[in-house]
Amino acid sequence: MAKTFKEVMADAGISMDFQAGGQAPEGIINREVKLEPHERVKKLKNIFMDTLSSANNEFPYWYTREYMKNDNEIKVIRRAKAIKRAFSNLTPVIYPGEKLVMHKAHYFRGSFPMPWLSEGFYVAKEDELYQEAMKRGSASVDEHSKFGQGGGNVVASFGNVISIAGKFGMRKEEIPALVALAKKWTGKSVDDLGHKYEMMVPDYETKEKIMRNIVCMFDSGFTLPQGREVINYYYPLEYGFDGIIKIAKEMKDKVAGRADGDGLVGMNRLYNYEAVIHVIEGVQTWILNYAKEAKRLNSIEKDETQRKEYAEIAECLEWIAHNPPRTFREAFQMIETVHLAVLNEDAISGLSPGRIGQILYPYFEQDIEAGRLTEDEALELLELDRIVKTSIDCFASMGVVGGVLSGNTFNTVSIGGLDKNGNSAVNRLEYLILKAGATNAMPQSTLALLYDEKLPEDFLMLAAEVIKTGSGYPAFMNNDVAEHFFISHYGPEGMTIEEARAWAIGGCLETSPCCWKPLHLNGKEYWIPGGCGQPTSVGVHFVSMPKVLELALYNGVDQRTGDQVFEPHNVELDLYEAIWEQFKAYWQKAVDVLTLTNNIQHDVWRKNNMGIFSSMLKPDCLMTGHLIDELGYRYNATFNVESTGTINTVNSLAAIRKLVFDDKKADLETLKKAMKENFGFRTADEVNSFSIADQQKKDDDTGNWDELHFACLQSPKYGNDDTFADSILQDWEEFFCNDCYNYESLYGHPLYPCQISVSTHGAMGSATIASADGRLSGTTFADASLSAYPGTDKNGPFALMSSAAVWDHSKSQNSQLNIKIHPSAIKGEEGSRKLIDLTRAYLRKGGFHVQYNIVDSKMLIDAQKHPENYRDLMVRVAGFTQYWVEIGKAVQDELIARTEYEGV
Amino acid sequence: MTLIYRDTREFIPVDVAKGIDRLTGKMVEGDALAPKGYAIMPKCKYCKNYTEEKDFIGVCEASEQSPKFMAYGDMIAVSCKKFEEK
Repeated sequence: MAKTFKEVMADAGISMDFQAGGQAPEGIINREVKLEPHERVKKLKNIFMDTLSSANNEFPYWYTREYMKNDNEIKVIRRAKAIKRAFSNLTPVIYPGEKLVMHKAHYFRGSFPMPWLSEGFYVAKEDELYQEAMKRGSASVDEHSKFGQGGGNVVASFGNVISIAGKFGMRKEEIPALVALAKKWTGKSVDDLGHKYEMMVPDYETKEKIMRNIVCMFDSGFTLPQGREVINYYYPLEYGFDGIIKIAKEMKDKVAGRADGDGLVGMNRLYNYEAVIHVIEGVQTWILNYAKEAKRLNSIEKDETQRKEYAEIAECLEWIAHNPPRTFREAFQMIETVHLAVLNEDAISGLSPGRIGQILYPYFEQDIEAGRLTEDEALELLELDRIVKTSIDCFASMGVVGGVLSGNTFNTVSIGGLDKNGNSAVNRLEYLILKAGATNAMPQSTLALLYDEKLPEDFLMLAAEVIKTGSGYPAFMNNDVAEHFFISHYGPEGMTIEEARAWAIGGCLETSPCCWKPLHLNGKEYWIPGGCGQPTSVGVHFVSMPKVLELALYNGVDQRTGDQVFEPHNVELDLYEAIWEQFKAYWQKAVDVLTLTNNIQHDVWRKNNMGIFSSMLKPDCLMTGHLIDELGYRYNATFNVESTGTINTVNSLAAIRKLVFDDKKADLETLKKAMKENFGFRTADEVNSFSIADQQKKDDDTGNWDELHFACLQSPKYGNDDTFADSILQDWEEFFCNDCYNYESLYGHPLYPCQISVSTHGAMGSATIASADGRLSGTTFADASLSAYPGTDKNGPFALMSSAAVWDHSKSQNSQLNIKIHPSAIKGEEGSRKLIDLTRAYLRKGGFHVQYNIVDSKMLIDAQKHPENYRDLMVRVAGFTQYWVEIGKAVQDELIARTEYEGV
Repeated sequence: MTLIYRDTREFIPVDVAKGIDRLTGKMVEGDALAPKGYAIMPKCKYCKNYTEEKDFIGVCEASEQSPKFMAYGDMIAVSCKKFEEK
């Protein structure tokens, strides 16, 4: 068999053992901390663990039926009526043992397509899906067991279940209806209409080539038009749904027929309030249908305890359908319901609950004081919430759900941070949130700890203990850096330092603007934080930096496909600076055309598919009468440019500079030839591994590229506190953070940088040839934006952190640094202390974010071989935690290869 | 009438393949035969207003638009005000 990359390196005397700071023990070491949830939670979690992602047509059916009926209505009313009808007709399902009830669809892990966003996939697949549905007979055990290897993913059809996009299962009886519904949206969906108009952008052909060659990953306008934002639960908590309807009716009386100086959209306020009333009525019916189901179950249940619980559920739902919650339980159910309602209104990934420990604290505090609640009961509800959130699926295309999101929906909860007055916001409930993250370790809600020097030490130590369960959370985000970013970016829209303190993470690690609102409970006032900004999942997403560098080096031609993506630049690349300038020029070209086409898609979305329920929740829509589409949110400068492959690009530029221009070890043409020939290795696809460590030499390789490849690998690398490479990172950040402000969103605000990879480093790496840093063709890029490339960070975590902190992180919405540490390196209380000290050191240097995978790489290798033994193994990828078995191989391979620190 | 689990009121759907038999508490296949006496789950295929036109798909005669809107037999109708059992 041909030699692997690792063996080739060993022959050359180069250590590539992907460990640093010591040697890992020989056997597989499990995580040090392992806790169990309450019995009730355990039972429900067992159901989840054996549950398939399931989709049905109920919501899209009723939405489409009502929408098509009202073609003479004003757009916002037409959509509101459709949403109302869909909510009103959803089938309620309550599982025994649930306390927090309601689901997106009538499955434990249910979701549904939204053909009004994009229908092309189903129509294009019509024959395939239809034939598959027709030929399905009895269930096949073999097929079913094959599916199990993907966790809850329906990777292939079986029995009477049809796999859609390798992720969702749909009953064969529903497939013809899915296709028929999809066809009703042909030419009308955001996708179709957006496409019709984006083609009018003068340089549209370039956009097509950019997408076809995976220079950019996806169009957000018709895939996930909203998300990576923080929801706001304030109005339902303060006023209840009847109270909100009352406000809307009063406001209608005030604005009917009045423009009030706004000749453009002033009159729309009447229709908007009317739309809000329709949608809330639909949500109320949905809640009451659940209450009715709970009563039905109560009337037939034989078990006394369960019967009582059904009665409590019915009572809780009947109350919150109309009124503001009175207790912790009611408040929790209210925010759960509101959350699911927003997720049903639109395709959203990254709807973060925000700082629920502070939002629910008033109810917690008063219930505890009154003896209505114990901390153990609160903990059980928090554990149950983790099942609800982990069960949330988002139905979108495979490219988006798999390639970008790894099936995650990023319902991140933020803890810590500061209160309105600048003091630590940590409260007793947040300790329980942390604890629930350990006792019921599940991917959702991922926890984001908003670190500030004022946070209590025992809170941070508890966080370290939770991290040691291997959950990957909490991640640490720097409160001070975030506040600087907010004032700088949202200052022009009126952000103050006091308001900046309300911030939370939306999505996996997008700093999102929030505000304070006064909640009143039994005569006491509490200032609670909540989202008030537009989605940050929107804009130019994601642009592959290594691919842009490839195009700059090869005169605009993609070396994988042979496509001429950009006009040839014909620049003689005889200086490092010439390459750097051309790289930036192509980058700007890509971002420019993608901004324009993206603006058109989102403009179509806002005209036909505006958020109504979600808008109503966020200040200041309810007060101004304008929804998201009319700049009703307090902060609207949320569109951004997302990058992928930062570190591979930095390392590649460092290698080119060093080898070609400084040391003159090779000329550029030779290096390009070597890269094109993948340094004598087979492709990642041929090897079926996307990790550099596993790559194999071609059988007929003569070794003539070995010396150059070694030189590339040994050239200066980011992550070692080495100025040569780190200064290139500085150059990039200086350019990127400023350049984003040259582009304007459809809402008239400048873009800004967002630096996370989610899972795109896998998919985009697979479409990119070998790079000058020695990375091989098709292998995964370095994870996140500041994680080191596997095996290249050799000087320990402090050196890596020094490299990461060479630039001003407050100029970007975020940055992302993931570190893998062997469990034995942070054992015991001393180990927890080391972890916190390490974190603090980085954040004091100005780092924005750091998170840890506490896992033995050998366990990951074993899990890849025997996924059936690791159904509950969780890992941290980019900014989120996910079950190992539910992430794609490309990302798994990178995680295995990532440098494992044996000592801190 | 013999019903499969997923067409009964006693079936709590967990996913597209299986669910919980509410009376026994056991996980069962949705396509397996349910014990006799289990109640029919209201679905379009059991509704007077549903006319099947081809495999799994038909029209809802109770729809308010013209032409009558499509429907599919397997859709649950517990929340549909127009449902009338055949």
